Amino acid sequence: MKRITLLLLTITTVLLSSCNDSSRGVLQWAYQLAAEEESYNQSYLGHDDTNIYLERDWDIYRAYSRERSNGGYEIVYEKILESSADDPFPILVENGNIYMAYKNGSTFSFFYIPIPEEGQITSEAYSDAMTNTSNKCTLSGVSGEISKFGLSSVIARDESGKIYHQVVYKLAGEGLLDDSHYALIKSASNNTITLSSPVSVPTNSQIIGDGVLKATSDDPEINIPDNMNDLYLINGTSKLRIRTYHDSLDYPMGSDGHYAAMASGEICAIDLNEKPEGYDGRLHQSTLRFDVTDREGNYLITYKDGNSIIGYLSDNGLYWREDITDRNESTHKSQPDIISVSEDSDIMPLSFVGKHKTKANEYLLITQDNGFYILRPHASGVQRLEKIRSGSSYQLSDFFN
Amino acid sequence: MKKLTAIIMLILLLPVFLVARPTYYDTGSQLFSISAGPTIPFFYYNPGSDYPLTFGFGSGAGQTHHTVGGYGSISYQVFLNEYFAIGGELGYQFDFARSSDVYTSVPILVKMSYVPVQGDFEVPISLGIGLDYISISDYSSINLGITFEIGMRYFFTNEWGVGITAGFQFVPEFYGFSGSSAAKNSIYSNVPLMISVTYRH
Repeated sequence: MKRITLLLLTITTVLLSSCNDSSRGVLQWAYQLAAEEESYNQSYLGHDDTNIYLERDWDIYRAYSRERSNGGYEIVYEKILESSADDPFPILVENGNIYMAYKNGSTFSFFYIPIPEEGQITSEAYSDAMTNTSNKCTLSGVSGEISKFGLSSVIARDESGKIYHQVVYKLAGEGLLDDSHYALIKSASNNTITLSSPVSVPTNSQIIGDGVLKATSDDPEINIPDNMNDLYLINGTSKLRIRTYHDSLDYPMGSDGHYAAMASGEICAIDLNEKPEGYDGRLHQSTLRFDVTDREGNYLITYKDGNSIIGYLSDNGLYWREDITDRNESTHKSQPDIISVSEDSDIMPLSFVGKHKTKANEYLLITQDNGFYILRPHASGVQRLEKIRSGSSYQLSDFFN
Repeated sequence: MKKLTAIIMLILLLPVFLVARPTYYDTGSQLFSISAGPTIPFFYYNPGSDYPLTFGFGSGAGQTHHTVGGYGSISYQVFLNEYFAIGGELGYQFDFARSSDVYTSVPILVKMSYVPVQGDFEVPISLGIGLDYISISDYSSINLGITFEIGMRYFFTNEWGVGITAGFQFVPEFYGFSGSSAAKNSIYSNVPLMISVTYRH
């Protein structure tokens, strides 16, 4: 009797399994749905024709849109490399490779590892890539060993939509007070990571915006009091030094020669026409002023698309203002337009990935926290920020230039 | 969770050890029950996952990513002899995944019950085996469904009784023995705690 029962149970189970043709287990999906809604600290590394590559909590994922059986698309995340804080960190993904950097003694080394078509990079393949000479990379135009290598998660773009990665590096043997070098990583191919012509910047610079660096005196060994709150705007191969007059200065933003920054709770314009002695511009305290003192924890975003647009993210929405070239103070003293943020109020710093290939004024944004959003105009005339959810008609690749 | 389960089982099993009373049922006696109550996720086992075995409700690591949910059922059984009854149960269970999607389970079971203590006060012990249709968002599958329950009920008239039931529900989702199919195999189990109304004839 026992045997017959067991046999019947087995046959029933196998027969039932043949009825199920789901691409994933239903229970597994229920579990993973939850996992996908978790918050991750993620940053953008690059994309190919169908995938966006992300670093999420040190691991590297590919994210892509997959058509659902009952219409629309869902975003699928697949881990392709498991890593940790102590391991090499990714620089960018390009030409089917992940380019990575790690500190080898007192200098930085670089290597690439090919992305498998499916599945995860094994730990053996990972360590082989680190040690194989054929996988080693050099930075183009840089002679000497790199002793400091800082990569920004902020993305710079040119007019064609090409995405550049910003980097500050310092060569071994340079003195403490020698300047560092600022450059854009323009591309990578096999053993070469191609940089733009470097601009020398104060050694203690931090990349904090699109082409914007902030010089601080965080390092007690470096004493540059005069530079303490200066901004450096990088414009091609030249840098503009901006006088700010502010102890608390953060969130610079802007492009196309029009910049703003937050100082003492207000967003102020950077004026490149006024040039205090020794400076190429100054933070203007009386124009382009938004009072944001009532919004703690603001995060600012920038975008460059012909028009200069600035925005900031606060605890109750995304605020937005176009045309910061308008210097009319009365216009800007009012609060900027708020963009309706659907459902999620916990969105975190974000950056633009690209503009929709065919739909005008629709942009894909990636948050560093919990996923992808689309900024698009609404019938009411208000722009809306909508999270891409399962069933959406948007594919991520619609936004790749 | 394990302690709670053990205590519930002990309380429910206690009457089994009481002195046996005269039987109430004969061959052909019938029971009709309606039950409803909350369900608590017990465990989720997926060998291919980062966390193969997770327990309890909640969305954190090591938890099942299901919330407390609910279960309702109707059942009809006929006694084969004085102690054993067989019949069927149709149920509906729901809870929520962390994404707020509703997870639903519709078991259609053959239900066998053993009633060692019977009369005004009864202790039924039941085993159900059958099909279980589960779904979440646009995914669904038909699986084997297994339930084990033990309860207590009191008949305040000769025909009508009320009771409480606790047990385990298991949904083993099976796709294959190897490769990507095997990676999808998993089992979800929850604990239903129900109040039931029973009519006997």
